[in-house]
Amino acid sequence: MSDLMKKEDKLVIGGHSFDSRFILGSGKYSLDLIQAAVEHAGAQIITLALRRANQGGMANILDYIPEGVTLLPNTSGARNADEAVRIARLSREVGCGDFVKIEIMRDSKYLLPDNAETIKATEILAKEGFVVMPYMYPDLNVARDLQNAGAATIMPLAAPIGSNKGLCTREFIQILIDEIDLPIIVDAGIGAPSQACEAMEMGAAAVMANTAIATAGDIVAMADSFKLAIKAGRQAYLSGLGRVMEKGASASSPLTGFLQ
Amino acid sequence: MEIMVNGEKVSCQEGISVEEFVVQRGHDIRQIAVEWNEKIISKESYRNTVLKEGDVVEIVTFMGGGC
Repeated sequence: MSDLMKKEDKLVIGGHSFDSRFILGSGKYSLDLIQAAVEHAGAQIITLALRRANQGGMANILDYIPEGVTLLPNTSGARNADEAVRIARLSREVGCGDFVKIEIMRDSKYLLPDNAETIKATEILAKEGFVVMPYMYPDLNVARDLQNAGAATIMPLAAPIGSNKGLCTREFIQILIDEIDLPIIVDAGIGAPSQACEAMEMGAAAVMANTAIATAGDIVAMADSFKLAIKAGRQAYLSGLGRVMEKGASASSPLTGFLQ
Repeated sequence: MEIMVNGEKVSCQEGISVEEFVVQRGHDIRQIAVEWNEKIISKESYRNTVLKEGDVVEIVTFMGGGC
């Protein structure tokens, strides 16, 4: 085993460290599959949504999430910064920690994030001590503003939420990875383990996925597949990918000693 | 008396506390947050917060969600 493979490699978010680089969403599952999906994904962070509890006595998702997993409530449903702040504060009041993933959408067709409102909400919540993980459209200037506003990570979208289309914004995510000194976590649109692996090879700190797994034929096996792909991509990134030649070829076999 | 709970009119007994009300509805206090007249109240204050006619209450919890 090489020294690199023996080295400890932690993901650090807002002073908390994690061994896993796979953030799992919990939407669109039946509750009895959540636990197995989390375990097979090896996920240590799972996202949740906050909604009205109209009836008591029903099964609650919190009963199905393994102990020790960090809960990352999102602010889905928020259309502006004020609504996101309200949801974040309520989420913290449930009593599951200080993490929050800001999601602010004005558009219900494409579910694209409102970057300007996201910066506003990040600033307010970071000052209140939240570990703020904003979902955003990949834009370098916005990422810098989010960093200055106190974001703990930046979560650029790969493609529209739930689309499984993969790394449509690849070039712009690469700019964030190269320029922003925060963990860049690729969020939304990742549809296959190969895409998650590619994001990790690019230098993403982690990948978030939900729909790709929830809509797979075998949810638990797909969660495991993502785990392996993310691990492979991370190790490949740390190993330093081989160079790409613009033109021509380079023989890998000796060019001497041919049979006559 | 009547109060608004999660956007719906609900009848409840006079003098009931937030704690009694949410427990009667079957909620596990560890899994909810409550907003009372647009103010988030801590779990510790559920017991001493008495509901009155026309109060607006939001009771929220976590559900599956991701991307």
